Amino acid sequence: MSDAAALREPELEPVAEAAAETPPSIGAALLRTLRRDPAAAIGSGFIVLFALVALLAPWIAPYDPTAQHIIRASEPPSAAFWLGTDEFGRDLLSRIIHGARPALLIGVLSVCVSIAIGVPIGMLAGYHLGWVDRAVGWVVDIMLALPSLLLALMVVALLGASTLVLVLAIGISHVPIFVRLARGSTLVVRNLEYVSQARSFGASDLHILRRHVLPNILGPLIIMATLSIAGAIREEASLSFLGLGVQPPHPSWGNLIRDGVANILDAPHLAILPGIALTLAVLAFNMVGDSLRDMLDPRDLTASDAKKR
Amino acid sequence: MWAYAAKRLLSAVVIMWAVATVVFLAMRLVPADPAEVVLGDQASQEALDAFRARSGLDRPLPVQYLEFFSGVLRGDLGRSLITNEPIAEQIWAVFPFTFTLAFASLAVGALIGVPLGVWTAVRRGSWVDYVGRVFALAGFSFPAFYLGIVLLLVFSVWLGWTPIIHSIRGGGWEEHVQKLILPALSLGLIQGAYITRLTRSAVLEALGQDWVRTAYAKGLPDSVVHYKHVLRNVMIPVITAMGLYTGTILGGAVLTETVFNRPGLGKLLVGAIAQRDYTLIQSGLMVFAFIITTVNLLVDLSYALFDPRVKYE
Amino acid sequence: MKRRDMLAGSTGLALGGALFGIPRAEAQQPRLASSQVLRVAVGVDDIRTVDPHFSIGVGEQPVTRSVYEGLLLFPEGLVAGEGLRPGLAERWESSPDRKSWTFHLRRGVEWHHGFGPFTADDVVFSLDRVRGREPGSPFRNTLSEIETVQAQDPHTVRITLKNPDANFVGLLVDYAAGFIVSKRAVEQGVDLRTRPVGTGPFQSTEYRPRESFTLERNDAYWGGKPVLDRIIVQFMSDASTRELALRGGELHAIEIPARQDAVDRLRRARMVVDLTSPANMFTLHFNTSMQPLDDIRVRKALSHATNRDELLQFLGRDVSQPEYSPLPSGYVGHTSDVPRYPFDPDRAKALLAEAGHGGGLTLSTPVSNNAIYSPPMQVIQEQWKRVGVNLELRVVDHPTYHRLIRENVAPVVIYGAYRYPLTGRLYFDQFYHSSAIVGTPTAITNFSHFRGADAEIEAARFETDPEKQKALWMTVQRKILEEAMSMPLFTRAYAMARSPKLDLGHEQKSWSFYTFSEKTRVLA
Repeated sequence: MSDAAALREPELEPVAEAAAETPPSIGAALLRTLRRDPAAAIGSGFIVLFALVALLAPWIAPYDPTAQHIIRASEPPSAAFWLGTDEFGRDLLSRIIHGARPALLIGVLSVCVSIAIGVPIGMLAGYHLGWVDRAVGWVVDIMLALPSLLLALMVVALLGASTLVLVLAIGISHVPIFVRLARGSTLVVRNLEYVSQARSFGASDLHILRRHVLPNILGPLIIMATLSIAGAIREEASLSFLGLGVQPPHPSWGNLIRDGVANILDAPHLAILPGIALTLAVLAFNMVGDSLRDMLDPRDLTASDAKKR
Repeated sequence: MWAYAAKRLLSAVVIMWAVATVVFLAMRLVPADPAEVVLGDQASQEALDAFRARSGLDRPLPVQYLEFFSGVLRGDLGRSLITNEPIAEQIWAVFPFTFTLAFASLAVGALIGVPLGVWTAVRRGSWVDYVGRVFALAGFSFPAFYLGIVLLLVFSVWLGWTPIIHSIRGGGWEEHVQKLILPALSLGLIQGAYITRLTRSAVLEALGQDWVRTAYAKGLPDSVVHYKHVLRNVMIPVITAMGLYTGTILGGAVLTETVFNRPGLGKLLVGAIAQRDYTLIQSGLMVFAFIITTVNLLVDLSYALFDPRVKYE
Repeated sequence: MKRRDMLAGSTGLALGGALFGIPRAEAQQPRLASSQVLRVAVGVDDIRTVDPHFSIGVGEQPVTRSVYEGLLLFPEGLVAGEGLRPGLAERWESSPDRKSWTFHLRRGVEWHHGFGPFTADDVVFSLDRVRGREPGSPFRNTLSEIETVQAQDPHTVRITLKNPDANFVGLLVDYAAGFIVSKRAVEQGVDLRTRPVGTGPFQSTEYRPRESFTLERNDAYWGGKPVLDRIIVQFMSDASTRELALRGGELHAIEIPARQDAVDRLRRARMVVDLTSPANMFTLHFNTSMQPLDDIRVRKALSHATNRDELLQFLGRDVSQPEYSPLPSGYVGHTSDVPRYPFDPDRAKALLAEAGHGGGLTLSTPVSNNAIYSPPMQVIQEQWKRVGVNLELRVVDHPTYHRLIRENVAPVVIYGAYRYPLTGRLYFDQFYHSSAIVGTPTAITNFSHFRGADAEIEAARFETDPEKQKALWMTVQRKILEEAMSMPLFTRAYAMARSPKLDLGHEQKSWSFYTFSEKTRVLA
């Protein structure tokens, strides 16, 4: 699906390699990026804003987002309802504000799932190589050969839609990216001198992975996670748009767009405005991720590197 | 190289088998089956059983599984459990639509992305670069289905420049092109964002390389260096985009085809899931996996053509 | 009526009408469009089957109703118990005891696509096909009272019933179990699922999966040569696209969502909107096999908490009407003299408190993502919230919903249904008889697990005295509501819109989509 595109970034594996060559201090890099790159500053500003909106939604929103005023259904924007009401007479502004909650929640949690599954597997594959690596490679190839949206549709049909199912469905579909990322970085790190040394001193695999490998791949991991959140937010919206995401009466930008499309002839703003909120949120995460990547990888990698295995 | 291709082809076959197996099992776990979908709410248990017996759904799973794969090996994708139409025909009927959409959106993406990528790389750090970057970021961030809705609203509903129905088959090529514009734009603009980024990186790398510096040193004019030496490298990101985003476009086509009500593989499969048409889903997703793995293979092989540094053992 | 309005409208639009002194006569003698190709769109992704003995989908109706016929025919555009016309049978008579029925078939009727003349063999074959264990028609029950069907000669069929039934011919109309299919076509292996062979005014020419079904005129039609050359039925699941295409002149008729805003908007756009009945009646079934709905006080509380008026306002006054009885108004045996649970939040709260749920109550139930179920359930969800009942809705896709509610896992089930013939029989058999309880082998759609009126329901089946039968059915309705097993909500009309240029040749009062006859035409 379209959203997976952000996640199959060709640039990523080399990023890991580049980063590994100069072990970064991620905090310092972040600060430096923010100071130097306006895009990163704007992006982070937006992320903070969205987080605040999500956190404070009940206090900011003028109405309860699920409260219906059937008598005032489908009204145009007015002083009482700044962005108008939907077919149930619910306040669109309040619904867009509350829509930030599932977006951020599902975006962040699903990426946590992808990391929790993908990174250990990728590290193991990259560290041990051999049959483990080959087996992991097969599974990743199979997952990438299935269109993730169709897969998610099947999962949702199977388990029904709930926040947990959404988090799992989206999270699992992003696992291959993190496997590849962790594997690539581990491959580079395992051959570094100090890691070989540690191994010859008899350090356990687990110790080496945790103490030497993990810190080294943290940088690319954060970049990937940021971009992945952007992808997950879009995917949640896509599933909600197909009617199988966040459950009614709770708003999500995807189901707001879906409901709005049904009324697009009379009230196009019902679909357009939530879409703008959605796009801005995705954009914010992409801007930050993109700037971090530029900063960590100043030499601007090429795609051909990425495809050489 | 041939040995490499053969190995990859073999792995493609294994992937297709695995995909079909996963889908075979998963669909049978999903509640409701074709019998219930076809016969509806007044059907008796007896009628449901009769339907299942007729379409072979009552046999043990291993038997159904073996039968499906022996069919596939004979080149028979089976028949729809709902309408009994041959599945190969259904896929062939919609395939050109998905193919033209994928191709056109890639063309749109390349037409926007390659010039913009070269331009932003050459003018690195200038306002051009900045605008290019903003465009690329915006492109990454626009959900394709939303872009489709906005385009449809503006160009079909408000301006009336493009047709509203995107579903009619037949008609001349003009009609096909007309009905391709908006869907191709909604996927292609996003595609353009990726190609811009990839092209910019490739050009920047090329500009930093020895032979380009040598060319400059020899006193060749900028334009000659840019177009003769650098542009060659541009083929690589475009090809990479083709490979990486075949899956993306085919998958993204699911939503684009839904928004525009355009026939295609994605819409076929979404419909099949809703109707629990097991055989159609299995075969359809196998075809999906086949296309994705084959294109990826072709892309990898083509690197050897365009980039003399790449060799496969 | 409508047709005159529409003609005035169209000429007014085109020429300025009477303003320029154009003679009225001209407006009354409309010219035919040069192209008699009718393009219509239904809101589905694809057909499932157009085999008339299996078809249940709205999107399939324009195909099945144009291609197939019954021994009797409904009045054009109307579903009713009276006014049935001769179709493939020219006349019929019954024995004095109403157990034996003889049908004299129309002569000279030919099957489409050269499958030969229509004969008594086809009638026997068709009725046996519906009645038989194979191929397992969902309408099998409709004809379960038939003992034998015999061809007495090529043009005479005799049907013997197990029990007398004065209204038997009402089952042999052009609907579901009554459609007649070609014996020879089936025996030669024609797949009726996608290649219908009938006797009607239009015959199928092409089916394009997930895109369209094309019909062309049957020049040999016994009722006269149709005016339309072709009918193209397009599958377009998106309502906005359908509407825009109709308004843009790309289509002549579409299915529209039964919502007031859509109806108003299309009327403003000078399209003709038709709202039809009988249509689905929506009922909320309380699953009494589950706590806390096994407590009648809770069921009554939820009934009092539900505000029908608000639901009607939400759906729109033109497209919906309130229902108070488990059997929809207009059905034989319907009574409005039933226990009622008017909207009364205070009473609801008091009943909940009495049942020990004063602190609130949470129910979790699946609901289909289909647009006919999910929105009204969201309105009810909000209404119940106001009395402290938290109804969690788990949206699932439509087939999953049907599976789940039949597996007896849903505490509250919203269900829309319409059953022909329009009597209490099928409704009560399927929704309120103990044999139809969900989760059992003979399950149909008894979601509430009501078993308190089996005696009356069974007695009414074979009651030959119409008045006694009605009285039994009325008792059933009262018993259901005394127990507050379900909450009848509303009937929602089918809605469709067409260009004023489409002259159906009849008034569209029934059916879920327009029906087309040999007289249907496109005006210039």
